[in-house]
Amino acid sequence: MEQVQWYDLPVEILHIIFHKLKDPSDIYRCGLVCVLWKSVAKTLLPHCLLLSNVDVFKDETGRSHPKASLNKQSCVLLNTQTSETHEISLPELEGRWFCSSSFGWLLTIGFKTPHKLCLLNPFTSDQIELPSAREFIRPDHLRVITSSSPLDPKCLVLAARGYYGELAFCRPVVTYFVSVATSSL
Amino acid sequence: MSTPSVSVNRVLKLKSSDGEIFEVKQTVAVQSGVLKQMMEDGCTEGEIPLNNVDSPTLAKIIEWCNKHHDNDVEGRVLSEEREKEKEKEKAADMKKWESEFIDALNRDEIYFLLTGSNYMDIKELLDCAAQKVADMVKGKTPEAIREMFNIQSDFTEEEEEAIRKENQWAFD
Repeated sequence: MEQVQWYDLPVEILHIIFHKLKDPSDIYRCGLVCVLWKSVAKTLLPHCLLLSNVDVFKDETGRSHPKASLNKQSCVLLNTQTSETHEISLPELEGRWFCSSSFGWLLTIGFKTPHKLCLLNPFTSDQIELPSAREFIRPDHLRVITSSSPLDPKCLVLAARGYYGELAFCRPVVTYFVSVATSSL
Repeated sequence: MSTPSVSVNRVLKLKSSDGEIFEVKQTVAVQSGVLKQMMEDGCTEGEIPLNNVDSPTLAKIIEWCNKHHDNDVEGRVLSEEREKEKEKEKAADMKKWESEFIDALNRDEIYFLLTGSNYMDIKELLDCAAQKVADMVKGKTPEAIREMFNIQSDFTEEEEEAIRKENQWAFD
């Protein structure tokens, strides 16, 4: 037999294979294999929402409802076209909360003081450390939003605890949050 | 079969890329879209060269087609009442046979089965082999997939970084 080059697999066959992947995160990861696979994966990925802190449970009538699952080591991907959900298991969440997502990254917060903050890419398990949240009284109520992907050096992270009127920002490369006067909030 | 030019007893002579000749009944060969078309066009005299399919792969493809053909024929003989119930059983048996057939193959053999069934246009076989590959990549990291299929990443360092940066490309 001749030498097999999987890289040369015809695009139409790749399409058929990727079509059989029900979980969008599998298609996503295939897109990171090489340039050709990325070009195919990109055309097949459904519109998805990353749900960071909800789970789905079924009531007695069999209807699905979202519910909070703060202490679960997974997040949920929601296909907005089919309403199908796919759970992504995240062992990195051991001992941590996760609260919000921005640009596909999840904010994770350590249970214990000083409540280390991290941004986590749920597909690749890449993690970026943020300044710890000891400045905040109840870090579990924290939400962050980023101005761009957190790997971008120009990225700005805004942390907010709307209920308490606290606001702070940082760049992922620096080590402390800068508090912002929030009397106007 | 519905095609008038297909007769039960006639055989096609298929020639693999390495020159081996395989004889296949026409009624079996119709599972290949390409061969079916050739039969309808009446151009199946002599040896039919399949330049993209080597002999071990062609043997596997014919094994698949024979099995599926036998199953079809047996299915027709049954009385109508029992047909539904039997059909279910048959489908389950066939599924089992298919998964054993595919699981017995190594990665290279699966590759050639994919390209061969694609070339000969045998949809069911292509689907089955594609499902096998999908099952193999499920839950794996990009690095593990590259290693499994011996694929070199051809992203530049910057591209690779950019992809991880913009992981929202999955969501737009």
